[in-house]
Amino acid sequence: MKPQQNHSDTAVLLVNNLTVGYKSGSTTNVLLENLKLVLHQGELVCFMGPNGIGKSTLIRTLAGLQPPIAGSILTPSQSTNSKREEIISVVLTDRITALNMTVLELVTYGRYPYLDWNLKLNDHDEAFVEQAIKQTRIETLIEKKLYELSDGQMQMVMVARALAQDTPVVLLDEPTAHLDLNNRVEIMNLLRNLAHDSGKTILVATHELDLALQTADTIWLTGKNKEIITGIPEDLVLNGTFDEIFQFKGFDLKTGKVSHSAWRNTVIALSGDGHAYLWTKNALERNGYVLDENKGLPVSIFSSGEGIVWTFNDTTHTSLQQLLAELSR
Amino acid sequence: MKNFLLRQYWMLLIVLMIALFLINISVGSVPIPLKDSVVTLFGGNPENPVWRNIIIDFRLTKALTCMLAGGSLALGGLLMQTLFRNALAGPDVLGLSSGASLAVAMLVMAGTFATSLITGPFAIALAASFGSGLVLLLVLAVAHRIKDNASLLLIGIMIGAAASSLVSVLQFTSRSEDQHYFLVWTFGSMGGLSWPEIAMLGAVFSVGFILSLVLAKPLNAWLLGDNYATALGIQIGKARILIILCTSFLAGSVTAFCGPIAFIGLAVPHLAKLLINTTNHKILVPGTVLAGASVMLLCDTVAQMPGSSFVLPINAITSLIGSPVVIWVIVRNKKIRT
Repeated sequence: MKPQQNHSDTAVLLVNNLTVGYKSGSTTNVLLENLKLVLHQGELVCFMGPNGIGKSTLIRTLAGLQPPIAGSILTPSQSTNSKREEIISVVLTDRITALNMTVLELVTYGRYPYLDWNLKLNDHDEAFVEQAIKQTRIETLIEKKLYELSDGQMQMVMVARALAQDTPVVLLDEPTAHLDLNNRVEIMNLLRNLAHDSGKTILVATHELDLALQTADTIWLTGKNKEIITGIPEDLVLNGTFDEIFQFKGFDLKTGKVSHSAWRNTVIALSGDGHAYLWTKNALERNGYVLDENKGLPVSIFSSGEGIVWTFNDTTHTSLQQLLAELSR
Repeated sequence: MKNFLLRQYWMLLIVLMIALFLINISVGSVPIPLKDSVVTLFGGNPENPVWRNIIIDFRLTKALTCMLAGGSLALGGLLMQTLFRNALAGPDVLGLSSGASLAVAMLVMAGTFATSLITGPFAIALAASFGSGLVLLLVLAVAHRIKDNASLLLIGIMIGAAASSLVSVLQFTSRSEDQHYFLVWTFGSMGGLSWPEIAMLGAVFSVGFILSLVLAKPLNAWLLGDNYATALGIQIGKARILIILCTSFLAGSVTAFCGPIAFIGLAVPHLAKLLINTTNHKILVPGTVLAGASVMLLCDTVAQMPGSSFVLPINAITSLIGSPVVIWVIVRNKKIRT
């Protein structure tokens, strides 16, 4: 199922003039104000913004874990007697302290909204648990205790628990925090596939800028005036919204690169192509050289079956490290 | 079938409990052969007719009290440890037993009551119920206002500390025979309960036990924390009040009839979790009750000092068994966390 945007009939969650924050005593601390947002079916939305801006608070409010200060949250595509826990499942940043539980037990919790006090799973429940385990590829872990899991495995198990709940909407609060690159990519890919293949609506609060830009259908961006700006990733990059909110220091989002100052005052004319060209450019710019196609010291890249060689001043180098050493002499 | 036995091996605790029950009945200042104990329990006549009176009038009531008190306290401890997600919580963390102690101390020591009619065992039970009931109302009022469980735990402990210091003041200002009477009450006692009193203890236990089984779903969900429990559709506000009420009645009734029994509520749930190795309260609740009853029977048997006419205070024995368990739990938890 492809994401269908700007179709109000695919809206699964409508947020109307919502204001979220905390009330403590007589003072009200408003974090986000007058929000008007829509989540569509089969859409992966990445929710970005600096720390402490209210992302977790909005997620908890959407999930019904804390009351909104004002406004309403509607689920237009669901029958009116559906309960919140049958529509929205969550993966939070809360740590699980009962580590003596098995993975299977934790995933089974996803079926709790459908069970009575006796907690007896029927075939239907078992099937959803099994499917969630398969989708997150944690089959080999199910007998393990939680304290045996790595952080990445633990997050996958928490995602599986949310999937077992079989809700059209899944909200995740920084599911990739503290994970290595491989685990981050795996989780984001899984979420994108779930949105596009299973038609789930997935909202992820994340700080993974590069991953979000490459996987999200829609970005929710917050950071100023207690509002949320929405749009597809590319639009928000090109119209400068990202730059405005994150105030990047030394990072050029439009090229996706860290900006380098050309402190060597040496111009190099690089010729070559493909990955070798890109990584050579990276190495040279990182070391303070300026690249120009038409003038400067000539460096050429030759790729052959035996590998890549760089020629400069009639000498041949088999690694970039050698080339850089030669250039700096 | 074999699979079922493997998964449900905790039911072996029933066998253990019955064995400890029979041993408990057989030992005491007058040793009675196991065979005669069993015969008497099934309505037959033992070799020595006096044994029959000893068993039915004294030992059977004491053994039943042990099982009910042990089961109630262990269950209360399990509920508190789950509610507060804290391995060191027990049924007395809400300050209930301290409240009961204060009420009993006031009855016994606040004047010349000790010699008057009021100070029968029944009056003490009444005072203890009144004291723990008052603290319960206080805790419920706090729980209604403060939704954070850690704060509730601290407040419970503070109430307990305040009550304990009031007891100290009373002790300091009272006569030595009253002090002694109170001290004996704090040692705890499993004996001397009448059948109606046992029936009362049993009724409270049954209600608490059934309520805990019905609450297995919120109890399980609680292990994931308040937020996840709510996200799974658990009405945690309602469940919290029910869990507090349940624990209060379980612990309050035992304190009223047997005195403030230490450590069972704290230590036994850990023992049970070790034996059963599950986090599912549908199994943990009955398992913990069986373990509590067994440990209490064992403690009482040891307190009898088999073969001698000397009886040790039950609280000395429960703490003796309880302390090593608590130390062990702390050491083990440290290992798990790293």
